[in-house]
Order: sequence, then C-alpha cells, then structure tokens
Amino acid sequence: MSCRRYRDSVVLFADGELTGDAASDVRLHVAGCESCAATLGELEKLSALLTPKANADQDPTMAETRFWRSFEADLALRVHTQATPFWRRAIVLPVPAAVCMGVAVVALGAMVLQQRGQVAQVRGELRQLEAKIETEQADVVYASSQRLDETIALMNARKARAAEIQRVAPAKASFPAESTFRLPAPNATPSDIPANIRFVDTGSADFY
Amino acid sequence: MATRTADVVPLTQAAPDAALAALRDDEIATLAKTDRRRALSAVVAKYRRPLYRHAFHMLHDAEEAYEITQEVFVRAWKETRLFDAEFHIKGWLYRVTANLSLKHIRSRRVRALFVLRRPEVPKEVTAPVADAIYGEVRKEVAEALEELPPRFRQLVVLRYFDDLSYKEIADTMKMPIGSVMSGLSRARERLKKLLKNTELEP
Repeated sequence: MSCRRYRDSVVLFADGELTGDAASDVRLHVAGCESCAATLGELEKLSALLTPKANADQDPTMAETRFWRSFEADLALRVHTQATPFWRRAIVLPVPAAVCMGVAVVALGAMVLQQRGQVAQVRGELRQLEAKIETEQADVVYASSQRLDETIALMNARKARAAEIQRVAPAKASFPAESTFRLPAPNATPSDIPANIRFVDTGSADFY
Repeated sequence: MATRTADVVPLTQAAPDAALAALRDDEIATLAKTDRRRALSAVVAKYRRPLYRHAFHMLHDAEEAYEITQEVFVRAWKETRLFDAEFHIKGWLYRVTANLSLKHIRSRRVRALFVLRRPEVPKEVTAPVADAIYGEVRKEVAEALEELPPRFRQLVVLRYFDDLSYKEIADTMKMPIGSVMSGLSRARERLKKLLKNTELEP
C-alpha cells in the first residue's frame, strides 16, 4: 500500500526532483522496502549507464579550445553573411547583373537584326540588279529582234526591188543598143528612172 | 542593421571564455543592456558545449551536430527578445536545438534520397575533441539510444546528458511537467528492455 504511494516519489527522488523533507522521507522508505530499493537501484544503474564517463565539466583541453576557436570563427562568418541586409543581397549584386545582361542581350539582338537588315537590303539590291539586268537583256533582245526584223524587211525590200529591176530592166548584156535608147519622158521624176540606168554625158549637148 | 553588423566582430576575437561562461543568465541579460555583442559572446561561451553535446547525442553525427549548433547561435543572434527580462535563454536555446535536431532526424530519410553520402571522417581525427566535449558513451548505450523513437530519445538526452530538471525539460519542450514524467518513464521502460543484457561494468 505504501509502495504505491512512493512509486512516483522514488522516480522523482532518483531524478533529483525532491529536496528536504520529501527526499529524506523517500530515503527512509527505501531503506525499509525491498521493491522500492530495487526500483531505485535500476534507475541508478540506468543513470550510471547513460551518464558519460568523462566529466563534461572538466577544463577544456588544447584541442577543444582550438575547436571552439574555429567554431566561433565559423559562427562569426555565418552571422556576418546573414547580417548583410536582404535588399543588399537581393538587389545590389543581382539587379545590376540582370540589367547588364539585359543590355547585352538587347545589343546583341540589335546587332543581329541590323546585320539581317543589311543582308536583306543587299539581297534586295541584288534582286533589283538582277531584275534590271534581265529587263535590259530583254530590251537588248527585243531591240535586236526589232532590228533583225527591220533588216529582214529591208533585205526583202531590196530583193524585191532587185527582182523588179530585173523584170523591168534585164541584164546589162541585153541592154538595148544606143540607137533604141529613149530618153525618159519629160515629166518623169528621178525615182521613176531605173536605178541601173546611168546617165552618160555624151558631149553632144547641142543635139537638143 | 549597421549596429548588428558590429555585433559580429568580437566573436572572432579571443574572448576570456571562462569568465564569460561563468556568468548566470540574468547577469548576461544585464550585460546585454550595455554591451549586446559581449552578451552574445557570453551566451555562446556558456552554451556551445551543452548544446553541441545535446545535438550530438540526438544525431550521433559530429558534423551534423556542429551544423545544428551553429544554426542555433545564428538564430540566437537574430532573436531580438533574447535578453528580455521574461525570456528564458536556456530554455529557448535547448528548445531550438532540440527542435532542429528532431527536424533533422525526421528529414534524414528524405535527404538520403537526394544527398550523396559524405565520406566517413576518420574517427581518430574527431575523437579527442569529441570525447572531451560529449564524454565517452558506451557503444551499447549509443545503439540503444539510436533505437529509441526521437521524442523519447530527446527526453532521455535532456534528462541524463544535459542534466536538466523536469521543469526545465517542460519549459524546453513546451509541455506540462506531467507529460515529461510519463514520457520519461515510458522512455526508461523502452531503454531498460534495450539495455537488458548490458551490465554496468563490462
């Protein structure tokens, strides 16, 4: 009956939560109670197992002092990094960097576009030139074809004229004798005179 | 902001650690009224060892414990109420450490998926400092602690390794004292089962 009352107290006592009268009360009970003594013994055994062997409160060794030095240096560095205001971390470096990159991209784009424009312009000019050459060639061809037609027509005309002359005035060999030569009619125009008829000055002007 | 940046500097200087570490919390709070940076140095000098020890016993990893302790002090430096009259510095520091450690344990499984395993640090490099700081714990005990659920482990570490009273534990974990007692007794039951075969002196 009394053990049930002391069950929690023993645990509290083992954990050092009891002081003064309460502690001495438990101590007194444990001295006379086997089961509570066993409980306390178990708790103390556990405590002994869990408490590290080396005393953590002993004076720090050289190695440990050095360890804490570097620990504090590391901490100071971290704190310093975090002490930089957010806006500075977020704006001062990234924003100008972004602006520079943006400007670079725009400039590059402009250069590319400009080059493309130039290329397009040159191409356009070339095309115009080609077109011009083509039209000029066509003109030449047309012009030459025109001239050819004219020439052919001219030649045809000359052929026809020659044939006409042949018909009207036969070959020289069969030219009529001087005696049969007749003067052209007084009203004849020069074009009516056949081309192969030469007027020879006979020197007998007083014949008329 | 400018005055805060100035706070940083003395932390790098060789401060008279022993004298600063010996100050009580209310003395540190008084010191903060005249010299905040020195008070912060005092907080670091006084609590770095116990907080590092706590984080180590929670995580069983020196590097992770180091990171968490650093984070705790960075948060302390940011905390504007730290030196207020009604502010429990010790409870706050332990609470932040304990919560960060718990969070770290819980995120371990997720992190293991994404983070490559770090190369193991040779034990002889860290051992002398580590033993001095968090004491030598027997392998069986460490393994048993590892088996405990994080919440129970936290209670055991706070009670035995950090030697906090029930009230301080309750203050740290923001729970009633009754819950601390019941949780602790359940943690002990589990631990007793795990340590059943372990004798006090092998």
